[in-house]
Amino acid sequence: MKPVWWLLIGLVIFLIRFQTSLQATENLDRYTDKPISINGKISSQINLQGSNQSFNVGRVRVRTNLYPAYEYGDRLVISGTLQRQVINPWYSRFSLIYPGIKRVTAGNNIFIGFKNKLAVWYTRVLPEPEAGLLAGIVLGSKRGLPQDFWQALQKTGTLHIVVASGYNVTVVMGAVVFLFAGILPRLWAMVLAMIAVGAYSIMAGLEPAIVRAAIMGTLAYFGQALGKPRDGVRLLAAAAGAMLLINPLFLFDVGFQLSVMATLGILLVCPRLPRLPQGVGESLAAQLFVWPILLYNFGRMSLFGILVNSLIAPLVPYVMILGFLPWLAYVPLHLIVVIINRFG
Amino acid sequence: MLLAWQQWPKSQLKLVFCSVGQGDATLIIWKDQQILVDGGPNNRVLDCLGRHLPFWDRELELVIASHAEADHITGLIEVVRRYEVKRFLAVNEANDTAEYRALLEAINQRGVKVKELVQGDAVLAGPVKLTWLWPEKPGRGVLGAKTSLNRFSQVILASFGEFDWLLTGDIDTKIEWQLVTSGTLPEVEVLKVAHHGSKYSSSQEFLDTVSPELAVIEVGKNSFGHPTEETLGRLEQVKAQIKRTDEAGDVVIISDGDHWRVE
Repeated sequence: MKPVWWLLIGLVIFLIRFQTSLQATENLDRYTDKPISINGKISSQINLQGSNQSFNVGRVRVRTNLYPAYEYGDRLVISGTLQRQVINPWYSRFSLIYPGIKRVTAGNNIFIGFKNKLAVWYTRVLPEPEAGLLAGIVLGSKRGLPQDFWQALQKTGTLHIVVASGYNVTVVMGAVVFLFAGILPRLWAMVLAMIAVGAYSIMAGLEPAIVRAAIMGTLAYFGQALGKPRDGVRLLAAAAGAMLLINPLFLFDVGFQLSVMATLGILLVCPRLPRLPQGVGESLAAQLFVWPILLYNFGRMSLFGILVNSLIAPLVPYVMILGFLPWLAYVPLHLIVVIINRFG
Repeated sequence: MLLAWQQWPKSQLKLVFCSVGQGDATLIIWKDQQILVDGGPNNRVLDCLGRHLPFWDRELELVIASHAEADHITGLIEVVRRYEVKRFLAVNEANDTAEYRALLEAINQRGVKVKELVQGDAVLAGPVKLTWLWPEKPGRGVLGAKTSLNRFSQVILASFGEFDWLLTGDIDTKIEWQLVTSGTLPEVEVLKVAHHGSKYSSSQEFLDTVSPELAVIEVGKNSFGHPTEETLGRLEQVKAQIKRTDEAGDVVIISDGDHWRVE
């Protein structure tokens, strides 16, 4: 079949899925401004902000006090008044602010459990904001980031370093292949690498950026095994397309938009750049392409963001690699903190 | 190496009123010993510890919860989880809240020793001396007691050489009057203004007695109108210089035991 037909079929399925999700929004909208009670599992990472925590239960965003602490996978009964915030004609955010919450059962996901153990270890060994930054870079966990530091990251356009993404996938795959390449047949090592990436993606909360990177990484490895040349743009289109078919609302997720555009920038611009220090070229290319999205969503895009990104880009890989030796990671972490606080 | 040298502890006293929003967190540092009084309403106290402790120091010699309200204990939960707390001092007057339960859980999990000190007790940390002026007697440990927990706040007179400062928790004018009439209140250089500058605290009689040169208000965005015009006015009456953590960020005071200055 010609690619055009694949594209058309994909588009039709997408439109059907999109229509269904609009219908779901309308169904939910019947309860807007009315008291409701929902019973469901926490389906996102927990975000800590000041004296609040927030998380998703299905389509509903819940904001509540810092304690008691909730966890991914907890089953809750939540009652409050449903609020709707219209983002655009096709997309609305539904939220429950300080509702009554009862925990029915506690979540019990081994990957999340492992991630939390690692994050607790970091916080025992390192002070803030270095501990939170380490958990962010290695695990994509934004939970422990101090609020002031979060704002500094946002101001300097460097928030992406605490989003698990393509680089994390490369390191996870590379580490597994490196460890098992001599022991296991190549194919088995690759299957193991894929399992590791899957586990890692769950640890990182299955956010759009990590899902995109995991799909692309997996496809690229298989492509290589089958002896097909890598075409990054096609891989990106496949990953983004698959994600949109599964959840059309990703289209309005800023994280998804940023991830796709940054990757596109790296794929298109990087090969045309002169040789630059590690990470700097990628950083420049990505910045160029996410610029319109940042401008639209946050109303600003600082020019010195490019400078700050170029300064910290060479440090991030060291932090990632030293994720299992947090004492040593302190030095690059502290440098990143100093740079970001200086400009933020 | 450079980082270690930069963060090496000094033999002067460092007194930090942490900027943590609407709540209290006060850090006392002398050499490698630290005392933390209250933890604020969120986790920002962790940044304060990160800013003022050397990065390798994961031990707090003494942590004090002035009283069991969320704007004083919430940050202590993560502090207990992350740091080796040698001793924990709290009034045995409980609060039936999620924060209080989480704090107890963390304390039990980490096997931290908890003690209750009252009027007349004292603690030494190197040359730093803490003397308890309040509460009068041990708490009854009643969940959800009718009396406001603020009235059970630990009031601590601290001194380092000739430099004295007073930590007041959230006491109100009634407790202040008891302290004034007890005759135990000396004049101090620095006063932590009670209850974030509430108008029901910091009475003129109390301020006249302690006669602070510097009054520090630990306060953030709030709906109570803290710090109130009334309290600010009374502080001006006693000619105290005023520093607010919401305006100045961390308020840091350095003393060698004779002199002191705001950094």
